[in-house]
Amino acid sequence: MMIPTFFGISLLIFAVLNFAPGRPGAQTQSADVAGDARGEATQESYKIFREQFNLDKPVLLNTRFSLQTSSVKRDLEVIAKLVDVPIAERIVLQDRLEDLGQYAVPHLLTVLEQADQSGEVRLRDTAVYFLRLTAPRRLLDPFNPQPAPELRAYNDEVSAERSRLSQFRYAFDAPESEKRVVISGWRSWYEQIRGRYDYSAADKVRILFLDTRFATYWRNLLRLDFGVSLATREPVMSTLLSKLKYSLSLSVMSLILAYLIAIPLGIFSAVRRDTRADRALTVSLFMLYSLPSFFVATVLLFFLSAGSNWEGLRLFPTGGFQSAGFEDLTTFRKATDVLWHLVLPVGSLTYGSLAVLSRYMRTGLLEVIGSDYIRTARAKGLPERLVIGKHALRNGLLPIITLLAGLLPAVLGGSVVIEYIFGIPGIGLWTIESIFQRDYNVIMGVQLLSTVLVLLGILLTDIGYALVDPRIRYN
Amino acid sequence: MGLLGVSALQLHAVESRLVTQSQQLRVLGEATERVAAQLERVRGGVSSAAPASNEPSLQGVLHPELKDFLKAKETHWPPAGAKTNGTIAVDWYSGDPKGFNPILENAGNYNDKVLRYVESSVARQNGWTNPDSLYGDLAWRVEVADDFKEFTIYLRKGVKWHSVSGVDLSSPRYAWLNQEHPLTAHDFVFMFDMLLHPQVQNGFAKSYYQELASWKALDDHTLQLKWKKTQAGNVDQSLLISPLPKFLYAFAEDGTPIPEATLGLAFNQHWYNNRGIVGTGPYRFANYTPGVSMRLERNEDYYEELPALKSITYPIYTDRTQTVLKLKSGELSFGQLSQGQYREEVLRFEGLPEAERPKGSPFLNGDIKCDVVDDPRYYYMGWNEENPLFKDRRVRRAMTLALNRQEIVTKVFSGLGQVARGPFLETTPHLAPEIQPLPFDLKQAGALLAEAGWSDTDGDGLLDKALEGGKRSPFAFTLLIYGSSPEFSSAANIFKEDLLSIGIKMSIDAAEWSLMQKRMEEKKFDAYTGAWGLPWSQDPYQLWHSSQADVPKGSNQVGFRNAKADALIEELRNTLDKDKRTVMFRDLHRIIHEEQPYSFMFVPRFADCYRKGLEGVIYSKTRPVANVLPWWSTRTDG
Repeated sequence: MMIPTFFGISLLIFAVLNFAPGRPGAQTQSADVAGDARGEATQESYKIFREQFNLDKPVLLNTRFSLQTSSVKRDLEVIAKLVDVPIAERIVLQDRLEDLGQYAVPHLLTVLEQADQSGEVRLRDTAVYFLRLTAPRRLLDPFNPQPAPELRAYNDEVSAERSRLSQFRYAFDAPESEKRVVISGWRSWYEQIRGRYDYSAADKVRILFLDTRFATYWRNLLRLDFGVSLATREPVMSTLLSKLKYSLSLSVMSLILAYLIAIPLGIFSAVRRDTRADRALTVSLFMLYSLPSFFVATVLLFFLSAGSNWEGLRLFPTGGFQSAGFEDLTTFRKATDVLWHLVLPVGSLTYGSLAVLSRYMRTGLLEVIGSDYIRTARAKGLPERLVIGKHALRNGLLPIITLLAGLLPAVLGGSVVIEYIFGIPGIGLWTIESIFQRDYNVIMGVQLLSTVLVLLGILLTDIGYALVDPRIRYN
Repeated sequence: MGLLGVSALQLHAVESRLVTQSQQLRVLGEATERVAAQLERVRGGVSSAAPASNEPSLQGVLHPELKDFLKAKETHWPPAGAKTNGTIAVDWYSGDPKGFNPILENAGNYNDKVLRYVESSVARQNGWTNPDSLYGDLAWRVEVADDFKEFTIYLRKGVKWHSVSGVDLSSPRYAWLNQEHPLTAHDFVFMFDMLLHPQVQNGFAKSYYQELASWKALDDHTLQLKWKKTQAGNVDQSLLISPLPKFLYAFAEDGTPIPEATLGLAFNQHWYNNRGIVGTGPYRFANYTPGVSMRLERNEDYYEELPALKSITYPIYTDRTQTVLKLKSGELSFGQLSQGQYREEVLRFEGLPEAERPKGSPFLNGDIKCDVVDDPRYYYMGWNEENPLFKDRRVRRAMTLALNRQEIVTKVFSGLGQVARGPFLETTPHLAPEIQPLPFDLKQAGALLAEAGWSDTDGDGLLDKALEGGKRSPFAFTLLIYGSSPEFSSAANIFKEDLLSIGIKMSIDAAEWSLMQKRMEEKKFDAYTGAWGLPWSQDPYQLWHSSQADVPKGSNQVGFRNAKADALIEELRNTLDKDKRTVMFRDLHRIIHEEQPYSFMFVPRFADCYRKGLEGVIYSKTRPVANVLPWWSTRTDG
């Protein structure tokens, strides 16, 4: 069951990601930072970027082999300003035509020939412009430092062809004689490689399903390759692992702390049910629960960190995970340094969950306390401490264990807000940055991992049940 | 359990001893390094003076008849009496850099705070006095021939690349890097090879070099650049360039050369891109711990005047409010406060009696000092001229008249800003002196709108007009703003109120950056707020030439088309005479002022704050304004 679920979820995330508005950008800037030169060269750069991350491919199904010359021609006419449309439309079409890549080449050449015969100069020139962008083939496995001889030979050939094709260009205002040379260059090149664009039925099936973003992504995934981040070009997996220690120490500590505090509080409330102490505890826990963590974190930082205006209260660092000069510390000092940095973030992450956890504990325990076997135990004359501690508690823990499964993905995902405010470079912070940058590979990587964790959490809960309650057995 | 505790304690004791020892060793090493460096500096002083006084050394140069293009350096450091072992910690609130490869990255703070110090260039601007004059950095002589189309650059000899950081040089895996690498003209050639490689993804930089005809090394220390055309940008584009270490970027991590065919693509994902940066400048990129900090250390082998600061540290964080806390705690010795932060910490206590000020705040007790500094950029509102609403110049003028810029600066930005007159730097002569910003005048705005045919015919309180032969429709549009900026929402709301009082309905659409970018690229907007940096020497082509309105992802997003402006812009590109350029720039400013494609909002000011102990703080006229090279510090802890 787990594997189809996993596949389904990944399909869903993939679809949502790829159809969300906004576009990934290699260079993300904030609006506050002034912009930079952009133009034709930028456009080409962006094309390389898209190719590198397969963003030029269709998302799920590729039907580009059945492209019609007439539709390419229509697009070209719009781009060449032969048809009057809003500029926005023209810009979208330019991107789309470029993305067609190899599939557009035969059609562009047909348009080129037709336009050349009928004397539509502008259309012809636009076709040549797009040929130069779409005709060069892509290099295979370009990041392989030691390519096999065949691969190297193939890439050398592609590279030679690319540099040959890059000469086949002219400015729109160049003299006609120069244009003629370039056009005949395209013609003779096409005569040589014509066969490349005849697709057999098998080719078409392969292209339909396999030459897509989704298929490429999954092919890589099966090789345990999560790809590289679109923003930093670092492998997603290794970055994820390097950030794991920050998020894990934050959330595991907070989780343990929450359980350590909430369980006794819950027991206390259950035993002293409906007394004044129980009510006071409930009210104060819910007050904590209703305080948003970003607010509490900021207040804590303002008053209790080294940046406080009050000298006596400068107790904790202003954020971060470790001090400057961390490398020079002993292991013990390193540990205390990290702990000291984590006091405020763990605190602000934990207090909110106390109410929920202790309520679960309380209800769970109360249910058990009302049951017959507890009455029996009491009737036997067992001391109350043993009744609660030995007989009731074990069953009362069940609901709280169920909760643990749900918390596991949160443990990994970290807390976006807390990591942001305290400047802890964990996974939460990374995810939110990636979302803003439309860094698909990172978002996919993190989401898939949390999918695995949810599934794993469910498994662990089942195992936990069996351990706590001997009546539950799985075969 | 007890046993474990005891052995842990013992381990701790042993480790402490080891750590102390290694620290002592390092201090010792630094001391010898310092002595060596001082010796070096004495010798360096002699040798660097040599070319100037030694005319015969011009033997063998290509054009001995030409005067050296380089000027003298005008600002010197360290200042007399400066301590030369101080350190500084500077704010870095933008999170981890996306990468360090100087050819691929163009983030402003990375350029200003890291590359500026780690790399050397052929020449540098006299940024504090006269940025138009360039002094030699890596070059000791530059010959400009053939009407600014040929640049022959003579490089200093004996310059060495910094040792490579971010890898364990003692491990056999990186033995191939563990040696001294001299800088040669081939490193410049390699830089251009990569910069202009069709598969290297850096369009922003490539577009400046479209007219570069050739780049070659005449010998190991002579570089020659040839341009196809005489263009105003040729000087900066030829001389403010930095070399790229070929011994590093042309090789895979195991030291084998990267195959020629895939070099371009592999460069985009080079193994060293996220490790660090190797340069030849006054500071060496010493250490980078992702998410924690970056540290630059002074290059004691530097061939020029050594700066006084021994190291520059950037603690990495992501929340700008942390700048204030870290300045207070002493973790930062220098940091820039936003207008809101400066108001919260300083401005709101101004004029209050002593008793009502928080005593412990270092901003008020003299521990932290702040300078309010102009930032070379401007904010603006752009009007989409493709939209029939804003096609009419009178409507755009009316918009500017209805935009209460002074109030926005005063109320939203705490007075930290100056209403902008136009798209050029105030410190350059390029702005026409007679042009004053349009006043805030709703009446005049209303009159202009009436003149353009807008009137309220159906009595709903909104102006209406039949646009392009259609039915009469009310004047309503959407302003696209950057969603994460509360200041801009407030500014937009002030504008919205004022517009409503003259019968225009404006809605505000706050979008996050990637969405905003996409809408602007697809021209799916009526109006938007944006910002542009103001470089010292600028080419208005990218922003104001009509051809750029048709380029996908072009910067002329508002679709400004003006034949006179086009002619001026093209002529500016081909004119190098400073006075003629000034005249043309002013004419261009007059056209832009007349047409109002943007409503120029204001040039912001920021508060640059620093802790006691940082001395000699002076600001440059160019970006980065806070260039720390002449500064010094009495503190040695950051």
